[in-house]
Amino acid sequence: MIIPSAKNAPRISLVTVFSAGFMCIMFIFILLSYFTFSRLLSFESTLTNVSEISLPHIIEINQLYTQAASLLESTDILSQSSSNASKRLAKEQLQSNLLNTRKAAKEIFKNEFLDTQLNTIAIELEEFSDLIDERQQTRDNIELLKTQLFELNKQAITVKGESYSDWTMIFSQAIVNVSTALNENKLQQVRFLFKQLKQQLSKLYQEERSETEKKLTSKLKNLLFGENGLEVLKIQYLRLAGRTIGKANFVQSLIRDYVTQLGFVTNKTEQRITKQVSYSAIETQKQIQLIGVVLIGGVIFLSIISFLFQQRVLKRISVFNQIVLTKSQGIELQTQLSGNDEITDLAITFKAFTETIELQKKKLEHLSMSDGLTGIANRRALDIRLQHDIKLAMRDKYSVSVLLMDIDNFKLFNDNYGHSAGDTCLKDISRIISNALQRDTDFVARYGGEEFICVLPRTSAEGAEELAIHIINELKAEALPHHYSDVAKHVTLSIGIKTTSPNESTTSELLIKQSDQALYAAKKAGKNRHSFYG
Amino acid sequence: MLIQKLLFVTTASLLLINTVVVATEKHLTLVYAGNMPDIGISTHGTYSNLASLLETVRAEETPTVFTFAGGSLGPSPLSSLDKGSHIIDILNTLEPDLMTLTKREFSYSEDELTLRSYEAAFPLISSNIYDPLTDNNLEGISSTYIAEKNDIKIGFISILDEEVVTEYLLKRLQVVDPRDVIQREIAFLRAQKVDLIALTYAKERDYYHTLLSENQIDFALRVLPTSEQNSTFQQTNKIYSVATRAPFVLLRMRWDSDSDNKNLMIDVPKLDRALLPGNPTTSSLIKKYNQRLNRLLGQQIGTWGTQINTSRNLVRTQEAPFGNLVADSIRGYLQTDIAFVNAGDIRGEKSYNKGDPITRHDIVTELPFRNTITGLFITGAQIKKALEHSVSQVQQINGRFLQISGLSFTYRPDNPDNQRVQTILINKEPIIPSKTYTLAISNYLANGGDEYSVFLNTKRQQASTQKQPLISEIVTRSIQQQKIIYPSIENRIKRITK
Repeated sequence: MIIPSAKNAPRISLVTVFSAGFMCIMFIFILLSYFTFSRLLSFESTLTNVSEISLPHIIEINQLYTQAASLLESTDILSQSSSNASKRLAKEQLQSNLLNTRKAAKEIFKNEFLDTQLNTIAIELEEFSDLIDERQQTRDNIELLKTQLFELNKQAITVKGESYSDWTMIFSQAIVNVSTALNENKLQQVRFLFKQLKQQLSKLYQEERSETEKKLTSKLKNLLFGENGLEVLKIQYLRLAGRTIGKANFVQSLIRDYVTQLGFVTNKTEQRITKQVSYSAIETQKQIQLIGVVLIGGVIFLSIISFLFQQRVLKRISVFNQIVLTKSQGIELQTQLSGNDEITDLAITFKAFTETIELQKKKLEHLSMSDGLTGIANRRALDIRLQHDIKLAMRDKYSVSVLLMDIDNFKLFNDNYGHSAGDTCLKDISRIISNALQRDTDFVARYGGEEFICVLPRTSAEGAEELAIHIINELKAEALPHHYSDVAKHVTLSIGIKTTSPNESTTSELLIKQSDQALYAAKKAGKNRHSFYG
Repeated sequence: MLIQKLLFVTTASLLLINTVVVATEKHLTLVYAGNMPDIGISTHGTYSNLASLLETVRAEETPTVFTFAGGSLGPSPLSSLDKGSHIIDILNTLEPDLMTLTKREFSYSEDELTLRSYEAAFPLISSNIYDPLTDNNLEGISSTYIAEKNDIKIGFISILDEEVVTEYLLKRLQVVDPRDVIQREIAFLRAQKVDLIALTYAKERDYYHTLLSENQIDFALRVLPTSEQNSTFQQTNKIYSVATRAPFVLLRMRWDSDSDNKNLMIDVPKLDRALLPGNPTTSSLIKKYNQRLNRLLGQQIGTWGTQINTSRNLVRTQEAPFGNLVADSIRGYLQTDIAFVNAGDIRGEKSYNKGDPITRHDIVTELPFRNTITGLFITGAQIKKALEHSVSQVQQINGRFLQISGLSFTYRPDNPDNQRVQTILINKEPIIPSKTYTLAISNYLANGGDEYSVFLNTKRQQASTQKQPLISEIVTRSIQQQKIIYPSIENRIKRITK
């Protein structure tokens, strides 16, 4: 049975359900696509940033580092240079390094103070180069004086026998001492040695010495202690050597400091990259979480939608299908199909159809089993009923009585009162007979023309006779006029009765035949009476 | 010529008398100078004054020994750039007989000192250091020195304070206990038959007085540490000192060379250093260096927006605006949660008025050490420990006092050790002992300088492959970016007294 509870529920159309479901799926799909896409975009922008801004910057910084490193190297070569040529080459290399460094720096530091630092380095390098020149010059001068010194020594050796024999020895000793002093690298020691030399020379320059000796001593003295003598030069050289090393260290430290300052830029770049990447990482993490949530939500949502589809659509269609199937097999299924949508509509329509068919079938059945004029059962119905009753009576061993009735002189009635009156008469008779039947099991049918038949299960001959008398009496009481009858002034009936015995085996044809014989007997006996078969 | 003859006569007569009555008397002039790191400052006597003094005494007949006491290679603005090379260069023109070392000579690491020794045309002396690398003294440094003048020999023993290792975070160098060293060197010098033995040192020890009273050494030369310079000192008791405000001293010495009792007499003529004429050669050299300094550091980088004072007493005892500036700059550079700067790094002792220009020179004067920046990961508990250490010697005006950025705290100076620091707020939130914060500090502190062992147990931030910049450069750059700066006191460090 379909219970159309649906009409009270708010209407949710399947179209709405399907549209909403698909819309949701689409929405989740778009959302996921959006998140993934936006993440890709942001990742791409980070990569672009790193590759287009940060990486070239790092490369530039590296170039500057390389240049600055070679600047350091060149400075080192310059400070090591021991000849004019090597110095010139070193300086040339230094100049080109400086130029390259400046070029590389220009790319990185735009109008920053580091530019002035580079100028300072250039000036310092220039001064350093001058210092090296000066040192070289001093060294050359010392070498020159040394040559003169050895020349002097040669001359001294040739001086013989002119004066004291020890002069040459002392002179040569002094020359050796000069060499010792020149090899010394501590100022005070140099001073000390030259002071000793001075004393030595004063021994050589004495009144008793020969003129040549005096001249040579004087020359030596001049070489050693003159305005640009070896002492002055040696002291100057030591100072310059110290200053050169100091300056070299200083310039190198200056260049190193300059390089270190690149740290500012590298730091900035590193911080920027780190910031970008960490921001990107945080964003990615957030979006991954979001995508995860959306994905889980989506899966749950899809499950819900599937469940709803299954519950609201598929299951109900299956229920409906079952209803239709069972109905087609003629079985009524007590199933409730809830909701308010197209399926319930279909179910309701189906129910309406089946009910109509049921009704029409009943009507048809009724029509085929009843008599069109009188409305009581017809001959077909009688056949079915009689057979049924006989079967039952034979099985249960009880009596069945059959009353076959025929209106007396009905042809005359029709002829005189007309067919329409005849039909009314037939209707009245069938009413009277129907009313006369006391039990539900009793049955009346129009047997043909003006003949009627009653089937009375579980009725004895006495019972059948009683009914027959009652019908005859009722007709009398009703007194339907029939002035052309040869029996009475009213319409009468003749009744043939056949009652089976409980063990009697019979057929409907036989029963009717037997009751017809009884009817014939009643007719013969003068009509308006009943007669028993046999 | 006349003088020479006269002297000859005098000496001859003295010799004559000596042979009869007393032993030979020897004379020596000793110039002792040091603690002159800044060639720009001329208040207490300059290298030029010293040069003219030396010229004068060297012209005299009496032999002169010039001992340079050190204390000068750092820190100073120019040294922050050349690590003391210019001092060596100037000294090369003054021709010292020797130079002894103090802690300051190690301002730029022991290796830098070795490099300086090759620039120096005079010996560098320190008796009690040991370098595992050479299994001997540090390369370029001698353990003793005998200054020989005519027939006079003076032996020098120089003792370095053991604090140098921790104060300047030396990597290899070990300072040996002086007692044995001195005995060994005395024996050595005696064997060399020196006339006099001099001991130079900075930190006072009773032991040295015993050496003097027992005549194991003849006299002592001392470089007064900064902390003792406020007290007046006298050149007595055979201990002669130089200090920042009295950087050179002249000693006229005489003694009997032949007797057992030398009877060493030392006169200390009063020197009016301000009245000493300048020496043109040295002056021009110094002028050149100052020009160079100006060229290197004269550039204006910003303007002071407020009055600033960087006196030692201020920065080592309380929150100071300049300290805040430095701490903020390094914190900004590394973008850390907090930053610490030890007050000992701030050396300017200067005051600047509102509107004064800031030059690179000013910053290098304030931050003369070549400390670089380091990033650390530090827990809240370790921060507390560091702050306790910071305020543990406020009364003594110790350089360990921290100037801070990114946090604020209160402390009770009267509380016992490790209970002084009260509340600590980081970024206005109470500190969480177990949480890890990022900290920007100098490599000096990160390596446990000023006895901050707490930083040794922290993890270092991954430094970039490049060398980290100097803190002074970071501050310079920070000022350049701000142009006018307004450092102020922001109640970062609050002292609670009863």
